[in-house]
Amino acid sequence: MTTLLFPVGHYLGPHYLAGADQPAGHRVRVGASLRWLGTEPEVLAWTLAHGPGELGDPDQAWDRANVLAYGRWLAGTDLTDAVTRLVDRRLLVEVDPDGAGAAGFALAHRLRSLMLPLGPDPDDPDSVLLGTAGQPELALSELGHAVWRAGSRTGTLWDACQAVAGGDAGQPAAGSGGAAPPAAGLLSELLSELHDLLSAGAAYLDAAEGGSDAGVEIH
Amino acid sequence: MTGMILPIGQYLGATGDGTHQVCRGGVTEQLDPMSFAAWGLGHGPIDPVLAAAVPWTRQELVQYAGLAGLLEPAGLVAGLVDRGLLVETEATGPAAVAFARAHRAVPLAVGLGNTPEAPATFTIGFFHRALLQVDALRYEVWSWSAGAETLWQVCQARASAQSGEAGPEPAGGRPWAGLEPAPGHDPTELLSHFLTGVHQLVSANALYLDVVRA
Repeated sequence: MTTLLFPVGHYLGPHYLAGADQPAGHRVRVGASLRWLGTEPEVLAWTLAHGPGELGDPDQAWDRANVLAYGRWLAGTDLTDAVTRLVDRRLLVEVDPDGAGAAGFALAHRLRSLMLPLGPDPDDPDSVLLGTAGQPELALSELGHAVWRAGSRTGTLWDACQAVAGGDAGQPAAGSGGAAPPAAGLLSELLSELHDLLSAGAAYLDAAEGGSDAGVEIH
Repeated sequence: MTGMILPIGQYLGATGDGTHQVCRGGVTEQLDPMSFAAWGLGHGPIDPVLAAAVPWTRQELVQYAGLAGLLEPAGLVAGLVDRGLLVETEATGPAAVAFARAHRAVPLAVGLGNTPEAPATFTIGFFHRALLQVDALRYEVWSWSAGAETLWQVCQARASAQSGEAGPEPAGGRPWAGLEPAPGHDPTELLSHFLTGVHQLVSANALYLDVVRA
């Protein structure tokens, strides 16, 4: 399986100081810390890491090589250094869904849900539409919807997997906290579909509670 | 009480039989269509101008729900208040602080930042669709709310950070440097400012409010 590349943090947009015609940077909240994307290549790399969206094949495994290729294609920019810096700063994370690091990634991060559920997709009753009021933006598979629901109510991706595996995406599974593994293959499947949620803006990855950066501003 | 009325919980969608689900404090509540309609109207007027201008009280909600065609709107609202899916509070004073200690705000959109032309105005929404604009203070509270346990914790952290108590000044300045000055460094003033405009945020679905789990 390809090692996938994911962005971490809640985007807060460009930040212009009064009188400035260029932003001081783009802000991202991770846990209780404020992080900055200080250069255009960093903003582009972090944005592209969300997934291809409508620009590319949704079934494409989204990895570092694809982000670099799209950076060259869209902006003629070499994002190699920007991606390396953001990985070092944990604003981008690489993980192999089937690798040994997947469980650690799932324990260290959580999924925070955005948008509203708008009901079944008329074109596919097994899918659920998400969007803003009266404006569908994407259709989620049954698994995607279950994960989206579980994300708001669980403290880690690991717990979200347990909640989904337990058949109750609305509540954390009893005994959650990392003691038992998620159902076989579920974490891998979730990670493989995660870019669909991220690229549509229906969710974002955040650091799980208790990170060492709480309460500080990190550049 | 003559203060504002606010919806509590995250909307999870409808089931096949027309029941709507709202998650409150980690517990999924089932709402029949009429109760759901009243809960939806509890978010405030859909019109953003009205949402900004009209104090959304229980009385306003009941009246609005009646005009919208809901039967026995007072009873519907009372039922939702009893279930904790609507909460009455004040924008200022001890009631506001008690509300902020018991509730949290959870963003449902991303921040789109400000512009050189209007550095004191911030947009919330999605890359292809702006939902609303707010001032710098409300944007800061909204921005930090997902990372805090309670709304009160956000206001306390924001107020202390502004007065320089959060640690050494980081390189490049603090994120709010150069913005409009705050009404004060008191977290109660910040809370009041946020709550005065919170219906704009909930009616645009830029956030939802939830109870803090015990």
